[in-house]
Amino acid sequence: MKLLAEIGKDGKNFLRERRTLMLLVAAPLIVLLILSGVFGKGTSESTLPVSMGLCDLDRSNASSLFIGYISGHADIREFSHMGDCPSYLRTQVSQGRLSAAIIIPKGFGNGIARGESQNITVLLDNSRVQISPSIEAFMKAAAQGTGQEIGTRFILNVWSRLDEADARLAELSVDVSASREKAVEMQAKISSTYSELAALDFSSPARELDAAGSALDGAEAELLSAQSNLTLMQGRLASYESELESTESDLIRLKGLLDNMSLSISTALLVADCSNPLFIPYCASLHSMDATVSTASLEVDERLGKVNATRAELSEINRTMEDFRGNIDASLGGADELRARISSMEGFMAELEESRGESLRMMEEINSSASQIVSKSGELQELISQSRAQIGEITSRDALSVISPIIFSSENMFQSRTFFDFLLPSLIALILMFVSLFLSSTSLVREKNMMALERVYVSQVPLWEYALIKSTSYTIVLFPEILLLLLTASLAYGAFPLADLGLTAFLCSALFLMLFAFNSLGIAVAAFSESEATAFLASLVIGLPLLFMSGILFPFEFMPAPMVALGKATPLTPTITAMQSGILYASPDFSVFWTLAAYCIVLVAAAAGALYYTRGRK
Amino acid sequence: MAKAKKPRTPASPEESPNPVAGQGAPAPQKPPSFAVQAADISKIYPKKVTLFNFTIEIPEGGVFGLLGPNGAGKSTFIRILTGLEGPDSGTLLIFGQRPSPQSRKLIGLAPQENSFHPLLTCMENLLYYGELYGVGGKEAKERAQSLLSQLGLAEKKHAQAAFLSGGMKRRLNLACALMHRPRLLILDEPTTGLDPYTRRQLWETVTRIAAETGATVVLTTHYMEEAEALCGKIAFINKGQVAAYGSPRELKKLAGRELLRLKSIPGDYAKIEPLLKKSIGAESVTSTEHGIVVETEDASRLVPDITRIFSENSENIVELVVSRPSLEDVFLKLTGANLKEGTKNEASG
Repeated sequence: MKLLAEIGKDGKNFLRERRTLMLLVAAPLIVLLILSGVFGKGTSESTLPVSMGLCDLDRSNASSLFIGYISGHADIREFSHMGDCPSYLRTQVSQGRLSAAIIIPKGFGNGIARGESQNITVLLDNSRVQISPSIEAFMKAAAQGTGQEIGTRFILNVWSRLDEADARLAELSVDVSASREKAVEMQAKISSTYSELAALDFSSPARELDAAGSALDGAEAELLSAQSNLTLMQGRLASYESELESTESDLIRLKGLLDNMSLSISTALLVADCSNPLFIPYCASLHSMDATVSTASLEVDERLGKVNATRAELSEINRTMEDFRGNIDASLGGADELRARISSMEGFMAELEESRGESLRMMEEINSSASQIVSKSGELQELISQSRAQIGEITSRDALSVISPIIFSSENMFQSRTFFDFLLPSLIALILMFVSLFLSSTSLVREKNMMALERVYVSQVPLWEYALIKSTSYTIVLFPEILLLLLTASLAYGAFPLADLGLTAFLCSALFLMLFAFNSLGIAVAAFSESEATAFLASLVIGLPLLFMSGILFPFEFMPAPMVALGKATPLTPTITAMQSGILYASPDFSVFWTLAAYCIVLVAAAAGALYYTRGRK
Repeated sequence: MAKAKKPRTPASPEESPNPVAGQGAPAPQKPPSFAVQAADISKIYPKKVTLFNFTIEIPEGGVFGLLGPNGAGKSTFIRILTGLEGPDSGTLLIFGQRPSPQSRKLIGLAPQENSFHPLLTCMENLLYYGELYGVGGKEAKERAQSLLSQLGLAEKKHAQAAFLSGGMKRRLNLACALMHRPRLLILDEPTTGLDPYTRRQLWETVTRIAAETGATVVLTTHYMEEAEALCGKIAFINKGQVAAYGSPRELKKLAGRELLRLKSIPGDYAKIEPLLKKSIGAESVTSTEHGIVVETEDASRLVPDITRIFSENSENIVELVVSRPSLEDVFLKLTGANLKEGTKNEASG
């Protein structure tokens, strides 16, 4: 009964307040009418409805290509003839006379021809927040399109060069094949030479040289021995000769002595009268002695003769020995020369052996290289054939598909819809949010200010019950507003078939829950507001952020993560989701009911809390 | 809520929380029953003490007046009484019950400002407030009809409240508070802003309602004549405390003496004042440049002597006024404050 009384009272209050009633009915319709006009354009139009300034400082084929691309989709105003067109356009855009301006720098075409990325400057008036992202996107698309065209041309040029390279590779393949065959032949020859060289025996000459060396050594030793013997013999001969000389000297001295003796004897005989008998013995002895001395002198002379003969023989021997010595020395010298030759021959043989080893190694290396040449030439041929296959594969592709392998092909699922059609579900929720916030908050503040609320406070009615009743009452009183908006949306804008009672009931239920939630919020606002103006402003302060956080005007995708979370955590967002699911996608999302129901509980509790907290305040 | 403390019930005049309670009243035949018992109620706002150890007992039945200047604490006490605020300390009983939803049902409040829905008719307003207290259906309609008749609004029952005259609005405000037959009717300055005629009409209405319903009416006002005309008992409230309590007659006796005001020509009051003090034995003689004020238990007894002294001193009396003390005088005497000026530098309590 209390609820009915409250509904009756609130309903009568709204009905009797003519201007509010009129606004309740007319305002949403006016809003829908105006917005349907504002957002009535189709969504598939590709022309950019803005004027853009152009300053082409390059005037090249590439810049013309770019300009040609954009001029078909936007109103391009040429300023290239002006002296300092970049500055002029910058001023025009910064002063809001142009939405955007394009500056193509000098050297643009040449830079592209050199394969360097070129920059086109687009001056954007980003104060036009709705259109500037579209212009930017359009310009990016134009740059991409032009780049595609230039890239296609470049690719075709590359294709042509690749074809040439392919022809050259074919020739190279033949050459490589020939080289390979030659390498194989060379390999065979090297193998044969290697075998032959490896078969050569250097040990026999070496042995012979060793034997010759040994023989030479033996002969030399014998010569040296002979030389030594000769020296010894010569020494001895010299000794003999010395002894002979000594003997000769002795003999000569002896002879002298003998001569002296003979002379002495002769003198003695002359002096002595051998004739005197007395002297006869004497003379006889002298005579005997003289005879003996003469004999001895003769023997000495004989001996001297022998000594001289011996000395002559010795001299002869000595000469012969000297000849020997000379021969030995000559032989020894010949042995040294022979040894040097043998040694030289041995060195030569060693060098020859080493050269053979070196040659064998070289041949091995050459053989290995030849093997590698054979192997690599095989690989090279394989590589050439692969490269040719790849070139063939590459050049067989469409140049455009290389530049843009993915071709964007969008298909609008709602072809014939206007922006307003997309906005309408959200607009209904928005209008109802503002209506409920404003009406519930200002109405309750009015009741508070006329002290009617004080009677409630002093009554036995618990404040949670009052908040519940009040929210329900406002929601029921405002329910015709839901019906009015849905009827208008269905009948005037064909948003959904009204005959689909299930869908209609779904939409009504979602909006009813949202109204309840915002009415509760409005009651909480009213509890803290001193006047209707305060309540209105507070509702605006709450409603406007909710509007901007709802993802209608500014997509969630562009918001910072905390704001997305916050935006999704408002009662408005799930209602919009529900409305869109029902009206736009014809696939009602019933899960939002739980969210909205939770909001209803939380916000009605908040309303009760606010009433309790502020009830003692004047 | 205040701490549980049983309020003190005065068994004798001496125990009464105010100096004059029970003076001259007949001895009670049965234990007194109270509509409201408040003991040591304190309410402290930041930087301001509104009620401090406020103790009062309002007997059941009749009209009880709470008088005090603005900011004295009347409205705060009413707000505590109606449950709009809780006391910081103290105990409050309403018909012997601690404040509760049930006790609130016993209270009817007619706030100082009209508190009804101006776009609803008188009948609709009454039915709505009846529903608020669980009075609905046929009973509510009969009750509303009866109240509208009692308060002279029968002809306006289908008129939107916004279009009623000031007096009618006050009566509708009163009717709304009466819809659920409260045992305690609180009228917060019910005649503020009304013209004297309408005010007197409302006095009659309140008196009649109190008599007919048997409800206890607690009335706050700063109009002395209103309190005197309507209230059987009055409590003077000043600076958050009960300054005096009793019937108007009892309170007036607090001021005690009658005043005799005289003006004469040539008006040499400085000469007359000592003569009067010496010869007539008046309790208090005060002279100003405008005349002489004599304070006495019985002014009529002194008049011959006073006129003689004036005559002997060649003073011709041009004005002689005997005035008995008003409630305002009592309040002035007790508190030193003027009721209408209120307590300076204090917000409305």
